[in-house]
Amino acid sequence: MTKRIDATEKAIELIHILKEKHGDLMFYQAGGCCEGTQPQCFEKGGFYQRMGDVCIGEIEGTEFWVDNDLFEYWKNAHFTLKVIDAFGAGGFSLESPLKKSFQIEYRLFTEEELENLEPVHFIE
Amino acid sequence: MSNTAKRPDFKAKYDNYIGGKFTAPVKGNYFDVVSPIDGKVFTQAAHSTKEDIELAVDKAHEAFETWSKTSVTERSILLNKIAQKIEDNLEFIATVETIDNGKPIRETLAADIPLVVDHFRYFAGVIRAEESSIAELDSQTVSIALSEPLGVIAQIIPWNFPILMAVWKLAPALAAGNTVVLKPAESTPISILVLMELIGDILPPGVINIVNGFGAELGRPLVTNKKVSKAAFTGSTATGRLVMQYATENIIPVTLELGGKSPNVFMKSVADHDDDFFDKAIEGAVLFALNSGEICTAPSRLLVHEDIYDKFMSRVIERTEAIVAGNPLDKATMIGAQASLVQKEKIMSYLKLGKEEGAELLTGGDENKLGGDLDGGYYIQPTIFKGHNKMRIFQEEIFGPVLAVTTFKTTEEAIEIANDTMYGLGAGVWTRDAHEIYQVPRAIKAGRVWINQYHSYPAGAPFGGYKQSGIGRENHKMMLGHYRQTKNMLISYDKKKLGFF
Repeated sequence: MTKRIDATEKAIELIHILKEKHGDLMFYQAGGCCEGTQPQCFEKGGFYQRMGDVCIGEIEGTEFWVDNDLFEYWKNAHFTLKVIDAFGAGGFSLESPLKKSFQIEYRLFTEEELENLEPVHFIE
Repeated sequence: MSNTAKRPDFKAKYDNYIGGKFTAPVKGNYFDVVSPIDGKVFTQAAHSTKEDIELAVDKAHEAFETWSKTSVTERSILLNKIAQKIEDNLEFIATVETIDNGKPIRETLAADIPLVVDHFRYFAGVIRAEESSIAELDSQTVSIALSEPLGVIAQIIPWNFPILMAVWKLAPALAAGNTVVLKPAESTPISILVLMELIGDILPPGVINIVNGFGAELGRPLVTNKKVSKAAFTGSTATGRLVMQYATENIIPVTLELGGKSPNVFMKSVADHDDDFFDKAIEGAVLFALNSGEICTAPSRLLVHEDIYDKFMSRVIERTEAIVAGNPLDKATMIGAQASLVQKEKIMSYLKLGKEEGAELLTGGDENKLGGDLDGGYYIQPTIFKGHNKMRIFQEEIFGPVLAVTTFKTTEEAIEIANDTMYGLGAGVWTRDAHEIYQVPRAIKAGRVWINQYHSYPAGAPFGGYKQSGIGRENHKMMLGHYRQTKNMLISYDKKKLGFF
């Protein structure tokens, strides 16, 4: 099974730091201006998902949710969660006060990978 | 003689502006502020906590007691004084804004700050001409509908137009008699404080309060504070939804402006003649690069009739390649820096993605290394991709100087592509055909459709989104309605009882 999302060592390290401070976490990514299409990290349950929003996987037990309209465009890409040592996207993501920003690097799945993807789950 | 604006001296650090005074953050922390021009730290801003928010909201709440009772005449005079002060210091404020945000001074001098001045004057004007309504419901019953301000307003401001976006929210809120606690974006926290140094003493203490810091730490305590009566936000859809979610706690209204992926549609008749209008249309397509593409309404999807594609696009590419990149403080520079490293990296990821998903790169496509003093700055080449509307670069707001072009065969197809987006903020329609001028804009589901122009933002023209682009209409007197509630006084002139009891 091919995973839809992976994370760099640095991203995993940052998730651990944030968990220690805030408890269980969640990621959410949607669209819009400024910090739109940036992954945002919230306390678990701190963001109320839409019906049909999609969980594309977990990193260190932390669910990564995406907006249901945009999943249509994101379903063909592998996400790598990484960290930049800078802030400035805006938004309410928990890592920004540490002067860091989560970011996603995309890679289109190959035909082979597309046939063997991990299942996703939805808000129903 | 240099054509480059001189950098003003900045203070070593900027405190919050609370209760009419520059006030150190309660916990004493500050964060470094980087100018996107060169990637270097130029000052520090308060890294505030919920204690600072509480202090600011308390001061705003106190100030509301008297400010809400000032006459419209008095508020109008003060807003006009603010406008005048800004106009008298226009070049200085424009320079500071350019250093804070990275945009070219050509734009801050000609657009951002003049629009700020006019915005205050517009709201100073319209409140003088307003009247409440009175209705005789029957011969003995009169209904008076009076507008009253809401109270303390929480305003969360984006980094693409740090001063202008603040003023789009401040001017109507103050005109309506509210007081404000405003949180600037963490990547552009300084220019609004420099503005407060100039205009702060025009207003009573506590009417405007500025608290700097991070949305993660300040957003929730601000919007959910029990003394806050409304929240206004510009930014992403996820954060906008979070602001709405927070607003449910105390049942307060919100206005939101959340971006778009705006279509700019060029009908066949545009290329009928090679004249001034054709020249204007070419510029209209190249406006995707205005403010380095960091505009919620950026015309980032270009829809061109297939019969004129070659003639039109060759000129659009030529004009795009003539955009002068350079030091944003140089008055000849046409495109400046992206507002932050994070933003630059995000745009770079879309440039890579566009190539990967098979879009044809027509020009640009990479970062712009300007060298010298600007080497550490955040510059991107104006980029044009050709592709189709189902590609990610056509659907996701890149918020950079990246244009995605596609063609259409019929008017119906143009409208279908234009509306195939989750957003509905802006759109452009260019045509010489009198019927299309009315019919095509009506068919596009967006709050603002520019016809034979793009990117003008005059006060007096309502601006806001359809669909997932938000709630509310800024730039217009109707915004006063979003900053007020209605007091209905229902008076009986009948001396007789109802007769029920």
